[in-house]
Amino acid sequence: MLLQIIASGLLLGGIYALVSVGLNLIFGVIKIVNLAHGDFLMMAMYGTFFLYTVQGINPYVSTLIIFPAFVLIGVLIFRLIIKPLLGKAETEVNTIIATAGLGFVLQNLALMLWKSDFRAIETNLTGKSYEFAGIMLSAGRTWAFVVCVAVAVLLYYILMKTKVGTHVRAVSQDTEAATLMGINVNKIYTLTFAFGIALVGLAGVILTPTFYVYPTVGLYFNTMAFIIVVLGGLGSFTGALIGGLIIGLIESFAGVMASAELAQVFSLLIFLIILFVRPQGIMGKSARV
Amino acid sequence: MLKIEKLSVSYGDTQVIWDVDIEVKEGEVVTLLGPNGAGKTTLMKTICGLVPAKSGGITFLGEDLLKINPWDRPKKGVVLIPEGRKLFGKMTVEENLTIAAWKEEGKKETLEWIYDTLPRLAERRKQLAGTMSGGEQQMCAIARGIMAQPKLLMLDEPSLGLAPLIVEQVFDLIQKLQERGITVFFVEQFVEQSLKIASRGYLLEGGRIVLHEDSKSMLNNDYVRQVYLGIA
Repeated sequence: MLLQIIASGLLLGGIYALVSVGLNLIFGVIKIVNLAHGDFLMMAMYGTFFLYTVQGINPYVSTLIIFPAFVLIGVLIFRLIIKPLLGKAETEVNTIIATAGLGFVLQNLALMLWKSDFRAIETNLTGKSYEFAGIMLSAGRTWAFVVCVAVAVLLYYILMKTKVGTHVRAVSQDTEAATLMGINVNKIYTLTFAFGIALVGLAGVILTPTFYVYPTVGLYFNTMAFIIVVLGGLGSFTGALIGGLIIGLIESFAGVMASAELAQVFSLLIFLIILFVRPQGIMGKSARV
Repeated sequence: MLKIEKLSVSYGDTQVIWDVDIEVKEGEVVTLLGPNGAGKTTLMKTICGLVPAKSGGITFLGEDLLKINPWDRPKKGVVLIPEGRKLFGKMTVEENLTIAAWKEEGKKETLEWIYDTLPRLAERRKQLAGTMSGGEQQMCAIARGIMAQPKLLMLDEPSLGLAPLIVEQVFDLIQKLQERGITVFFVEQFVEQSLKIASRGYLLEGGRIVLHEDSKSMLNNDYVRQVYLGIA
């Protein structure tokens, strides 16, 4: 029983981590808060939904379409909305307002185009589960978890071992020094934003087989992603992973021991307690002047 | 090599650099002296493109530097080691060094030269740069600049906040740069030591060049002696 709860919690946490990692990447490097994060997730879920229902493309295959499409969307959004606000007065506030506005536009666009219906798709994995040493694992979530781990490993490799990853880390630490070392900060920003959006797009694809799709689904995941990112430590890559897993575990335990409705109450409660003890988040650095 | 003509720089409505003319020739070591707030750092940042020029021109090897993107200037051979070091503290010493090496050619040889010249950095290559002492960090910052294989290396107050013994090592290193064929243009607060290793000096006060002489005459200049060296 205990193992079952832990296993389900980790699977859920893996999905949460995948949803959050793009948000944290963008915050860590560009130092902006993307409030439309969850709404990009929603758009990716609709994309996956229609690719399946209209074109009959398997959700896991549609990654190949959604991911590059979201890279492109990320580049466009960065150029048109984010970049004009960078390096000016009140950048933080202005980017929050701009991305919040973008979120509303996306939500209402979805509402207008596709109504407020809850939609779901059935794939060959729906309702299936794997049994492993007496533990039942939902097939859809297991594959989501596998993708999450693969993304985490790949992202870690890119950031730590490749030239472009080193440049991203340099820009996140000191933009001026990075420029002096011949790094085009604007290019790294564009790349990071596009990749962060593509990652949440990927999360949307992976979520679609196991979650309902509706215009405001992004709000739920947005709140969750922010909690996870703050819990794990703003801007910390490992923080987002650990934060995601913790929230997943808490919800899993609370769901079994109390009730499914109370699960989120518990995760918020523990979130508050952790913040009282460690305001900078688990992996975050304390703010010192 | 570097030619600054009638350069003016403003922050908003406040002009901080007024009609500055400076020339640095190939192979020289030139120092820029002046009190706090004279505009020395601003001038350095303008040469690198971190601060835009208001009017006037900067050419490097005959090319208009102001038309080149700030991040492309190191590739032209102009590299600044900024005030306060600005290392990437959460990266290792070696990562800090290799990130500056934008070309493969000569990279290995340059790194070897750095580790030979500064054995402390070789010992600490796997250590996070932010965890080293101030002196070691300054050496690492200069080494990072060298890794870009510059033709002109500019240093903004490399001795800032360092112990006297370390300051001496920094000045030694600057002299070694000249032996390596790198032209040096640096800002300093230690007037006497700077003029001893530089061939010429510029004195910047209130955003204007008020004195420009070779080092020997500058050391004997009454104004410099009174105000900057404290000798009556």
